[in-house]
Amino acid sequence: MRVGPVLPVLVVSGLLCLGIANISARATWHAVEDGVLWTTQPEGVVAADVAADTPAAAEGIKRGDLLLAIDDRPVQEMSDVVEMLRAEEAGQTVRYTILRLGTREVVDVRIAPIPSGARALYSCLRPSAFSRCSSAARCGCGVHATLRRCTSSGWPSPSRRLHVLVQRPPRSARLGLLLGRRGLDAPAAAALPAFHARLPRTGAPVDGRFGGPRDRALVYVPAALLGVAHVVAFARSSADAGRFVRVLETLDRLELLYLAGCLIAGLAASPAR
Amino acid sequence: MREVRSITGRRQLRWIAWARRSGGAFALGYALPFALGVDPSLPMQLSAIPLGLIPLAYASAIVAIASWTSR
Repeated sequence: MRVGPVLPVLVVSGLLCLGIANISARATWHAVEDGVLWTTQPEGVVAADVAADTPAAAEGIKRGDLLLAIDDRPVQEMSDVVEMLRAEEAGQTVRYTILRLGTREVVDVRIAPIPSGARALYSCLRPSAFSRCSSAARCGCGVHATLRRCTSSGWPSPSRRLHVLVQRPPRSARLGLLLGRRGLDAPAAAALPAFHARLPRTGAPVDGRFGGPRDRALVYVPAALLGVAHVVAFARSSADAGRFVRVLETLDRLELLYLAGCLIAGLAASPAR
Repeated sequence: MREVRSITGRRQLRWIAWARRSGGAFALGYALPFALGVDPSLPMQLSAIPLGLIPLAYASAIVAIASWTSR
């Protein structure tokens, strides 16, 4: 079958544009945090966890505090917190009205930019068209469905824990969520290792041949299992925040272990060695 | 590689081979230590940079192969 050069050129151009959009969006991305994992409970918005060395921890906000208002504007859902914080700049001070043990307290919290964590560079350079597309869409819509707050030096050792903030986006940003991590980014991340393992095994990059059924299973089954595990973890994230953090830590390690295995397998199978 | 006689084709596949090698460097220099619990240092993070070349190498090869088949 003859394939004209127009379509591949369009695909390559699209990939380049998405890559530029991703880098640009990340460079100008504005996101701030207070350091609290807020959850919506029947009684209101409650602090489920407070990360150490954050503005909220410095001001004495504790687990179990009920957030009544930010800058005298009432807070009813976690998405209210996200929207109000999004309207602020890093370094600005917001006034939290909280209820602790039946007593109203007013706390001034100087919000800070969200740490990018140790995977920032890898995430930015991840060669995935879907990932780039969804990242650009997510940043463009100002949506962050999932933010991971890492310690400054990277992957947490037992003494440095990963703090995960799960925030629900406002209704106006549902499209961003659809295109975000739980939409295209996660499947793209799951498909990336298979991409690296599969293409090098072919004589030419557009050749569809690839090993036998066992080879395919070795490449695709872990991706499917990791994808399902992520979905299950997010579905149960509200039940136990601490457990959710530990599960995500483990899945992140397994994800990179799987990626490393596929990269090495692709290298070993290189026809151009 | 042995089946490709075109000089251009061989060059493209050589690009892909280098892209794969950079993927191997990332796997050994970042992904495996990270998965085993090592804190990523700056040099480890820099090993991710060549990953950006992988899609470009594949895209370049795809364009070249499409142009071969269209001849």
